[in-house]
Parts: sequence; structure tokens; C-alpha cells
Amino acid sequence: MSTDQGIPLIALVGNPNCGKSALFNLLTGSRQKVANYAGVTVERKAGRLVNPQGRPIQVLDLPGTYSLHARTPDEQVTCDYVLGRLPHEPRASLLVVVVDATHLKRQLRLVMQLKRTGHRLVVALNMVDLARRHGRVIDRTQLSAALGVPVIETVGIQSDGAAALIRYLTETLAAPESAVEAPAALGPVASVRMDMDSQIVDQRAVDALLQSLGYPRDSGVSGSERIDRVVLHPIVGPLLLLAILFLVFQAVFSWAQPFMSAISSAIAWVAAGVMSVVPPGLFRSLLVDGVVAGAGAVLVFLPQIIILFAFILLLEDSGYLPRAAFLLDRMMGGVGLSGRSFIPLLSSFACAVPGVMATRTIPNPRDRLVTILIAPLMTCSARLPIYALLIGAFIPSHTLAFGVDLQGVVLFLLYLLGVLSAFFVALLLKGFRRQSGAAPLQMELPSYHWPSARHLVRGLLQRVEIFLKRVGSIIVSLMVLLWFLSSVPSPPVGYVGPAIQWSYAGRLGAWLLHVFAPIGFNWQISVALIPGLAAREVAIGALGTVYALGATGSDVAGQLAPLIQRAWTLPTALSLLAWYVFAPQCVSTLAVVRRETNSWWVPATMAGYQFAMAYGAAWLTYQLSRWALGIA
Amino acid sequence: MRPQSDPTVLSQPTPDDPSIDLLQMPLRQEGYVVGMTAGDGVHADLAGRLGELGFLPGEPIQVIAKASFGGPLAVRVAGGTFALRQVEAATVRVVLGRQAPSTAGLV
Repeated sequence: MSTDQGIPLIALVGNPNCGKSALFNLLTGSRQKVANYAGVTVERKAGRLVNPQGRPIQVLDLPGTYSLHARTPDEQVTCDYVLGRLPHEPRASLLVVVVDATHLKRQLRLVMQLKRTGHRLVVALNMVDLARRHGRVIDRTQLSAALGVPVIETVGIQSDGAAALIRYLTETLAAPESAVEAPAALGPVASVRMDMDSQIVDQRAVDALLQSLGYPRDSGVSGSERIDRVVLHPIVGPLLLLAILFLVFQAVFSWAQPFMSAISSAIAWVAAGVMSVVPPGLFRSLLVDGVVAGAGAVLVFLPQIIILFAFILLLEDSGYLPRAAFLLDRMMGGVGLSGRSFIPLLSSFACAVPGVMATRTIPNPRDRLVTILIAPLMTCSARLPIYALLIGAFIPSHTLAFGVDLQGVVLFLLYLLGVLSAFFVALLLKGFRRQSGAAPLQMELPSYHWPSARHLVRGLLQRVEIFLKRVGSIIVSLMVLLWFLSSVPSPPVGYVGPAIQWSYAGRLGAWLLHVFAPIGFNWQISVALIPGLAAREVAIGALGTVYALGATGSDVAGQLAPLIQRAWTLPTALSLLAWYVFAPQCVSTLAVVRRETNSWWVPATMAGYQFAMAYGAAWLTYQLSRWALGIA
Repeated sequence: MRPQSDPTVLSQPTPDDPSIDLLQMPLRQEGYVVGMTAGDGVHADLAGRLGELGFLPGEPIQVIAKASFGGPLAVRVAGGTFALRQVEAATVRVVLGRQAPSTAGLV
């Protein structure tokens, strides 16, 4: 923080969905730092803006809020910051109030409230392009005069959309008086009244102001409303939602296929290249069986993960996600949750870590806790490699009807099983609810807009980067460690079995077999589950390593599927699939739950119940499928 | 405003008080907010929050969708669209019509 001394600080404030984050990204580009506010688990997004003159300005992106009366931990941070109650946070020399020009009326009330805090303000009139398209031309100078606050137009989704704001900030912050103009004392906090009467007073003031500007009172039926007539329709809406979810899962499986084969052959090519250059021996084994086989087995799934994330980002950007939450609210209410839990749960399909963090938007503490507990039951993308491998190896690709593939159907069923078990757990937890009556929903359904390609690409690149870093760092180092454990010690001369069985990993596997044999796992799977603790997809790389070392040596990366096809029975494969629906092992999830709930018993409960469910489901699957196939 | 502790009990408009609650409002008909059903505890908090979202006397309001099986309502108010559960919607009093009723006596 010491390097930030003397650099002017501004803070962005605004309603949720006002385009504040896009504007923040535009101002700071990649110079962002995400941390937590002291003592609370609310994300603190700060960044640095460098103006055309090369002078830096610090930018703090405060969580979105409707008013200065906080209901969620996120809103609390914003209110506390604005009211000067956060001792560790330096006071901003300027508050930039981001206002969505298409929803001027509601948003200006926040400006009214902020004016009473004694901060120096500037209004960033955002989304002016959209407002203009709706036929709303807002006279910036008139609005500024009426509000008594400078108003600058911005377009958060255009690369030069913040140019005017940056120019304003540069001029204002460079002026010498800005440093001296620290407010004598923050107006008494009590003056920021938040009751109904003061809200009505503010609303009247905003009404009068807008009327004096000749701002139309109501815009009639908007495009969003027309879309909502279909999307929120009591019958068409749920069917559409189901179709969208099904399309996502089909796409993940079928569209990714050609890319996956390409990556697969590239990995085999790399392995062959290493084989031809490096002489046989321990080092070659490390490179080929450890690094290439391990990383390759995970890397293959990059296309599927990209497709899944692309869909989630598109649904999020377009404004569809809150609609899905609306449609599912009744169903979620049945298990004691609200539609608000849907968005964290959907994020958990990508990864439970951002999913658990997204539960901060749930105001009700009990709903939040239950959502956290069931989030890992949503099938995260890290489980996708495992499902994909096992389905590819054991479920025949067979077109059913309408071009729907059996493999896609099985994948869909596995996802569905995760969702149903989550509902089951939530229902069990419903019994523990103390308060009576339904929790409020009060969720904004923002206007639809076309997702911005730039935003989508940025989001995807971020995901790819995170994934590749994981492959590059955690996954590869675990693979090397596993390779070491699987190769050392070397078996004595005259030992007949595969060398790996003599190694530490082999012995550990043999010991774990006592636990996992009843559910049909062999020692290779048991060993692979351990590094899978760090990240679920590592289990695949680990299997790659264990089998590569255990095999005769001719097998290289990318050939895992035919190998396990020969080595495993169908009940074993199904049992492992069932195990991974509940799979308790993911250290990052447990760590984020520990941090978010600030307790040990929540992550401990989570790990315990998931282990029990995974073991039970795998046992049941194994025994039932053996019985069905007549093996028992 | 009449006291109404149980939001599931529907009230009929009378000549004295033409207001109905949001739950009774027909789909896609225009109307205006006249106030909140005052309640205690949770409900007082609820009313405050709804006010922040724009559910304030004099605001034009319209129900744009109702989810099936007693699910939430999508309500357009003060230029924004919000999803409300039925219990929440029951606390909002509205009057049908295009013109804002005089809210002088209601505030």
C-alpha cells in the first residue's frame, strides 16, 4: 500500500446492474487487484488508471447498492465506506456515481442520498448509447445543473467510452485545491435518513427534477418486456429453460469433439517427440509418463470447459440468468431456498469456488449457508474430464432420436443426479430452519442486452488462463510427485510383477484398497484419488501416470481410454462415475468455504456428508450393476 | 390504511378505498402504487426494502408475468423490473388506472 501514497483515489458507486463493473474494467484495464476488505469476505476490487499524461489514479470499485441502507454484507461495505466507517480504507477524493441512463429515475435517488454524505461527487451517466437508442436524449448540462453535481457521459462497453470521464478526472484531481478540499467533517451520519418518508421525499425530488428536464414519465412497452412475455411465460418459460440447459450439455459433448481429438494427437506427437530426443531411462520416464501424460490427460478437456464457460457467460451477460432464477424460485422454495440461490449454484457448474463466493448476494444467512453446503453437488467443470473419459470409454456413442447422442444423455443424467441430490440435501436441511415464513426474493430483472463479444472473450481468456495455470503449476507438480512415488523404490532384481506395485504409490494403493474394494475401485483408482484432492481433474492425470508406469512402456499420453476399457469392468466405471457425482475431495472448495463461513464445522460437515454420499452411491451403483449384469 | 396481518387474506376494493394488493392485480394492467401494508418486524423491513427498489406511492406499476404454481411475480415499477414472491407482493397496495391518484392523504 505504501506505493499508493500520494496517488489520488477515486471510488465507483452505483446500483447493481448499472454497468459499473464494465466501466471499472474500461478504466483500469488489466491493472486490477482483487482482495478482501479487512475483516469481511467481501471482494475488494481496486485498480489503477493511467491517464494520457501518464499520471496514475487509483480506482476502487465498491459493491453495487440500491441505497445507503445495507441488507447484504456487500452493500454494508459500500455504505460503511461512504459513511467513513471503514478505518482501514483511505477516503476517496472523489466518488464517481455510476448511473444507468436507461433507468435514470431509480438511480438518481442514490445520488440524492450520496449528496448528503458530504463527499465530492461526479455522476457518470452510463449506457447513454442505449438510452439514445430508446429515444431518450438526456441533456447533460441541464441534468448537472438540476442535480448540482457534474455529469459526464460514459459508455462502459465501448473501448473509448470513458475518455470524457478520464479527462474530467485528470483535470479535477490535478487541480491543487482537490488535495486541500478534504471535507471539514463528514456530515452527521444520522442525517442520512433511510426511512420510508425520506425515500418518498427523494423520489418526489427526482420526479420533479426529471419533469423539469422534460424526461418522459413512462416509456410504454420496452423490448425487454416483449421478450419477458415469452421467457417468463408460465408454460413456455420453463420449457425454454430446460431446452437451453439441455442444449448446453449437448454442445459441451458434441461441439468439443473435433478440438479434443486435435489436442489429443498434438499431445501424442509431443510425447513421441520427447521419446525420440531423450534416451530411455528415469528422466525420459519423468518427462513422458509424468509431465506429458499427466498434463495431457487434463489439457484434452480444455475445449469442453471453454464451451461450458462460454454458455454461462452468455447467459449471464444477456440478462437471462435472473429470469432463470425467477422461473425456478417456486421449485427452490419447495426445498427451502429462493431463486437467488440459482445463480451461485449455476456458477458452481463451472467451479464451486466462484459459486460459493457468489452466495454473498444472498441476504438471508440461512439460505446462504444451505446454498454453500449444496454448491459442490453441482457438477463442476473439473469433474467433466472424469465424466468425459469414463463415458467415452464405457458408454457407446449411439444416436437415439433427433440426433441426440446416448453419451450426451448419460452426461445430462449425471448432472441431473447432482442437482437432485442437492435438492435432497436442501430438503433435509429445511427441517432445521428456525425462522418461519418465506424469505423475500426482491431480485432485479435487468434489461436484456446483446452480450458484448469483447466481454465474452475477456471472460473466456481469464478462464483459459486460470485453467492453464492450474495445469502448469499444481497439476504438473502433483504429477511429478506422483510419478516419483510410483517409481521409487525400484523393485529388487527378480521381482516379477509391474514395478509400480513395489513403489510407495503401489503400497499406498494396496492399503487404500481395503476401503475402496467394496465399491469396485482397483488400487490404481485408489491412488489416483489422492492427488485428486488438490483438484478433481488431477485424478485423470494421475490415472494416466499410474497406468503409463504400470504398462509395458509403449503406451503414452492420450491413450488412457482404451487402457481402462480393458482394465475395468463396467460396474467399476459406473461406480467411479457415481462417486464423482458427490466427490468430496476438493481442497480449494473446502478452503473457500472455511473462509466464507469463517468456521471449521461447515467445511468439516461438507466433507463428511459428501464422503458418505459418494461412498454410498458408489457402493449401490457397483452392487446393483453387478447384479444387473449377472456378475455377482 | 387498513391493518392486514395475514397477507393471504385478500381484500376487496371499496368506494372508500379503491386499493387492492399487488397479488390481485390483473396481468399487464396499468396501475399506481399507493402504499405498503404496514406490518411488524419482518414486514416493516420488507416495506423499507421495497421502497428502495422503487415501490413508492405514486409510482406506475404493472405485473408482467406470474410464475406457475404460486411462484413469484415479475413486476415493473419506477422503470425497473423486479421479481417478488407472493408474500412480498401482498404487502404492496395499488390502484388500477392510468392516472396517478392523489397520494396526499396516503403518505
